[in-house]
Amino acid sequence: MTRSIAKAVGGFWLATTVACTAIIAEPNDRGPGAPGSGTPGDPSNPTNPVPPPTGGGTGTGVPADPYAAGPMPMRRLNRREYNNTVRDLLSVATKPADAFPADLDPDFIFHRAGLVSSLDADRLREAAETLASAANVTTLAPCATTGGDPTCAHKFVETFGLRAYRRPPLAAEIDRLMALYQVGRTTLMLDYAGAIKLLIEAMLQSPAFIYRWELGPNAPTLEGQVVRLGPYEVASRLSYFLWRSMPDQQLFAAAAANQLSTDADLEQQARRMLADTKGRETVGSFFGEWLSLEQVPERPKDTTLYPEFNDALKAAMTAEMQNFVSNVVFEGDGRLSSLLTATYSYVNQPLAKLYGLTSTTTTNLQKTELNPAERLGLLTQPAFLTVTGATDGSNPVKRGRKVYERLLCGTLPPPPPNVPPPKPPSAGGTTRDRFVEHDMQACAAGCHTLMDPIGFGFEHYDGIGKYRTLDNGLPVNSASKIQLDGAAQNFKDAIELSRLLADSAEVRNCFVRQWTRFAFTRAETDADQASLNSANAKFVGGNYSVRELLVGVALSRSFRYRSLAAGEQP
Amino acid sequence: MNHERFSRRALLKSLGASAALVPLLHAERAPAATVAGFPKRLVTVSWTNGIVPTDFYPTGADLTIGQTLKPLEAFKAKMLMPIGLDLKVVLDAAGNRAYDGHFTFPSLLTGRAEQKSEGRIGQGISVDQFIANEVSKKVSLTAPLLNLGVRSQGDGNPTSWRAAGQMNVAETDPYRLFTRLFASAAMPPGTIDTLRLRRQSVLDFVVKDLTGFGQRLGTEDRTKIDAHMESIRELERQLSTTVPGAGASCVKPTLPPTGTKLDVPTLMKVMFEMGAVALKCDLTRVITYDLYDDGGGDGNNFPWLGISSDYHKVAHAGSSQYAQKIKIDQWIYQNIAILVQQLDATVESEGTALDHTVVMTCNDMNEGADHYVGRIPFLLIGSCGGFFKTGKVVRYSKIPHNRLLTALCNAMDVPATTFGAAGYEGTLTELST
Repeated sequence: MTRSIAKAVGGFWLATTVACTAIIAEPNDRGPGAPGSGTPGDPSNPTNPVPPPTGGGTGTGVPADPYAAGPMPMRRLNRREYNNTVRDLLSVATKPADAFPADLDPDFIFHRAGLVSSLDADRLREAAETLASAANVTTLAPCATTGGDPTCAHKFVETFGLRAYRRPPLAAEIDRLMALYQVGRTTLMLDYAGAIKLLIEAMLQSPAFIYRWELGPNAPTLEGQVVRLGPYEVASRLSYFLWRSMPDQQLFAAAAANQLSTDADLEQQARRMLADTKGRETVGSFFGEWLSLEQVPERPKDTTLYPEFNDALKAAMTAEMQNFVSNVVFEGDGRLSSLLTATYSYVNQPLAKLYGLTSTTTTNLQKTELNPAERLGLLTQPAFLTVTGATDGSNPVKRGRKVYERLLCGTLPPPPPNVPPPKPPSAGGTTRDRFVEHDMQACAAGCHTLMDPIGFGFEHYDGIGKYRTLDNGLPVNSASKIQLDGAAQNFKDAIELSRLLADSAEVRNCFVRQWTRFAFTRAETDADQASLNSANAKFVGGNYSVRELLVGVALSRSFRYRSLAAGEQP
Repeated sequence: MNHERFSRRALLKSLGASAALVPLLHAERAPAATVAGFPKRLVTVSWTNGIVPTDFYPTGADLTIGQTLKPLEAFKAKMLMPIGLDLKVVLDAAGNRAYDGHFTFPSLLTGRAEQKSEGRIGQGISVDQFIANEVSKKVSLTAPLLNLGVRSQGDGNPTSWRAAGQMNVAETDPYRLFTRLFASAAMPPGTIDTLRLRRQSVLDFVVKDLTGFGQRLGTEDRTKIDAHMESIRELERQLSTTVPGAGASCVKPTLPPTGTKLDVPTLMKVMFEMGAVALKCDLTRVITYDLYDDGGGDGNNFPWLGISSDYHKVAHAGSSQYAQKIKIDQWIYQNIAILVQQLDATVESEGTALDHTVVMTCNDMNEGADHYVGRIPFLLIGSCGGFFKTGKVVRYSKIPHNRLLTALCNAMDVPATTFGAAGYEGTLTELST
C-alpha cells in the first residue's frame, strides 16, 4: 500500500487567504533557498551547471565546490523500504509495514519516515514478532550439533547481523545479542530455534536495522572537510536508492572486497541493479511519489458523475502509468521527453472506455496508440488527471500547482490576507470563468498566477481524465500560457503544453533535482551543487535518458561523501 | 470508606460485574477521582473545517440546540459552551496566521504556536498528554492516554504531542485497539507472563542498543534516537501495567469479524464505542480523538450522507453549502453521542460516568469559508465530577483558549495556573461557577 491518505489539501474551492494557505499546504519541493526566478542555462553543454530553478532549489548562486558534499541524515526505513527489506532479508512476501502509520513528512514530497512515536514502536514490535515467529531457522541458522551450540548462535549473529544491519555488527552489538540468546535459553527456557527467533525479533527492533546509518565498526574517514563513506555505506546507498531495499549478496561481496570505490565499480553495480526487477519497481515508485500518482485509489470521486470510477478502473490507471513508465525507461529510449510526449499508452477494457476506444476489450493492458489530438504522454494520462482533479470536475489550481512544483521545482510564495472565494458552479460559467474571476482578486498576484494558467491547459479533462469539449454546457477553452525557460510561452491545450515541457531546460533541470532528492531523501543544499552538475552532465551526455541520470546520481560526490554532522564525534 | 481513593466495589457494582472482574481493575486509587472515588476522565474530539456559526452558536443566553448539535439534545443540561475563545497563540504568532485554520491542530491542545505561517509542528506537550502523565504518577492504567482516529494521518499533524516535535500518532485500527485493551485479559495467566517476560527482554536489548547507537550520531540524529527511546519506554510502561488473568471483563464491544474492511461510518461508530468501554472499565482516563484532521480533509467525502463533494470544498463554499456542512457535523456529533450516551447510561454512585467525565469537542477553525482561527467552536459535555457548571452558555471576547486548557487540568485535579506558551496565563472561572 502506498501512503495511505492524500496529503494534498488545496481543494478546488480556493476561498480566501486560507484557501491559498491550504493550497500551499501540499508537501512541496521547497529547498532551503529563497524563492526567486533563475535564468536557465544551456543544457546542451554538459559542463554547464544546473541553474537555480524557478524557485527553491539551492538557488543561492553559490559556485559549485567540487570537494563539497551534502549531509547524510540518519533515516528510518519508510514503509516501502521496510517491506522490501524484510522481503529480501527473510524471504517473506508479507508486507507488514502496510500496518505502520503513514510516512508523514509535510516538508518533503517523497516518502520519508518521521520520528518513532509510541504507535510506531508498537507496530515495529508487532511486525518483528510476527516475522520472527514465521522465520525459517533451519535456513537462516543451520546448526549441525543438537541442543543448540552457542557457537551456532554466534555464527548466526555475525552472518544475519551483517545482512540485517547492512554492515558487520560491532563487537558490543554481538555481545548484547549473545547475552539475549542466553536469556532466551535460560530465563525464557527456549530451545535453540526459539532463541534464534528471539534474536531475530530483537534485531528487527534494533536501531541498526530500523535506521539507515551503516557506519560500521570504524570511525568516519575524513577527507578534507567531508567524510568518505565506507564500502558498506555505499552498498546501502546504492541499494536503497535503486531498490528501496537492502543490498543483495553481490553488493555485500563487493563491499567486503572494497570494490565500491571507483567510478567503474559504482557504474557497473548501478547498471546491474537497474536491470533488475527491483530497479524497475523503484523507477515506478519514483513516478508514483513524484507526481502523487500512487494516490489514485484514495481519491474520492462523485460516483453519480463518475459511476465508472470503480476498483477495476483505479487499478488500471495505476497499472497503466507503471507499464508506460517502465516501457519508456527500460525498453524505449528512456528519455524524459518521451515520457511527456509518447503517443501511446497501455490500455485495457475499463481504460478503453474512458479513452473512448472500442478496440480494446481485454482486462490485460495492451500497448495502444491514442488519439494524438487528445492525449500525449504522462500528464494526459488518467492517473495524473484523477489525482489532480476534483471529486466532481477539473481542478486548474491543483493541476497547475502540480506542474509548477513538481516539474518546474517552483516554490509558491506565502499567501496574502483575505480573498473572497470563487463563485459556485450554480453561478454559471465554466470552471475557468469562475476561477479567472477569483484570480482577479488579491490572491492572484501571490500564488494563482503561478498555478492557474498552467492548470487551464488541462480543462479538456474532467475529474477522472475523460476528454470533454463542454464544461457546464459551455465550450472548453484550454488555451493559456506558461512562464518557461525565462519566457512566456503560449499553448492551446495540454498537448502543446506537454511538448513545451518536454523541450524545456527548466523541466530537465528540475527532474535532476527530483531524482537527487529521491536518492538522498532530502532537499539539496549548496554543498550538493557539484553533484547536481555531474549528475546533469551524465543526463545530458546520455541524451536525457532517465537511466543515465540515475547512474549519474550514483556517481555524484554527495552519493559517496557526506559532510560531518553537527555534534558528531569523528 | 476512604473517599480519596477509588472505590472498586462501587465501580464493580455500577458495572454489574462479578468478582471475576476484580483483577482487571487497579487496587489502589488516587485522584483524579470524584468524591465518591470514581475516576475523572477527559475526552477531546477534534476535526477540521469549522462549523456553521449561525447554526452552532446559540444567539441568546440559553444553550439552544441547532441542527448541528441535535444528536446531543438530550444532554443539553450536561453541556457547557464557552463562546469567544480564540487560538490567540496562533493569532499572535509571526507569519500572518489569522486564517491559518489548517495548521492549528498542533496549537489546539498545546497552547503554543510555531512562529511561522503554516506551522505544523507542536511546540510543547499537549494538555491530554500532560494530564495523562500526572494521572499516571498516581494510578497505573492500561493506557494512560489513548490516541484514536478513523483515518491514517495524512492531511496534517495531530492535536496530541508528547513533547515539542514529538507527535502522538492515533490508532485507527479497531482490531489492534481491541487487542491492546482487552487481549491480555483474555489470555491465560501463564501465557501472558511468558509474553511479558519475552517482550521485556527484547525491550531491554533495544534500550541498550539505542544507547550505543546514539553515541555515534550527530546532535540532530541523536534527537531521533531520544524520541525513539521515549517510545520504547512507553512500551515498557504498557508492559508493566498490563493486568493479566482477568477472565471476565467489562462488557467488551463486539467487532465485525477480523479481515473485514470497515467502511468509515462503521469505523467511526466502533471507535467511539471502544472509547466508551475503555473509560467505563478504567483502562484509560484520557482519550484524544483526531477525526478529520488538520489540513482540510481533502480526499474525504460523505456518500452515506449524500455528499460526494470533497469535505474541504464543501467547507470553502461557505454559506452556499451550509446545509451540507451542517449535515456532516451533525453526523460527527451523532457518533460522539454514542460515547456520551454510553457513559451516561453507566451509573456511578450519585451520578453517571458522564458526570465524572468532560468531553471537549473542538475544531481547527471557526468556519470553513474563511478558516479563521478565532472564536473556536468549543463545547464541553459532562461536568467532570461537578467541576464544570453545565447547562449554559458563557460568552467571552478574544480570550486565549489556553485558559480553557488550564481549566481542563484543574477539572482533572491537576494543579495549574497556566498552560502552554508564556503570556497566556489564567483560567476560566466562569465555567465552574
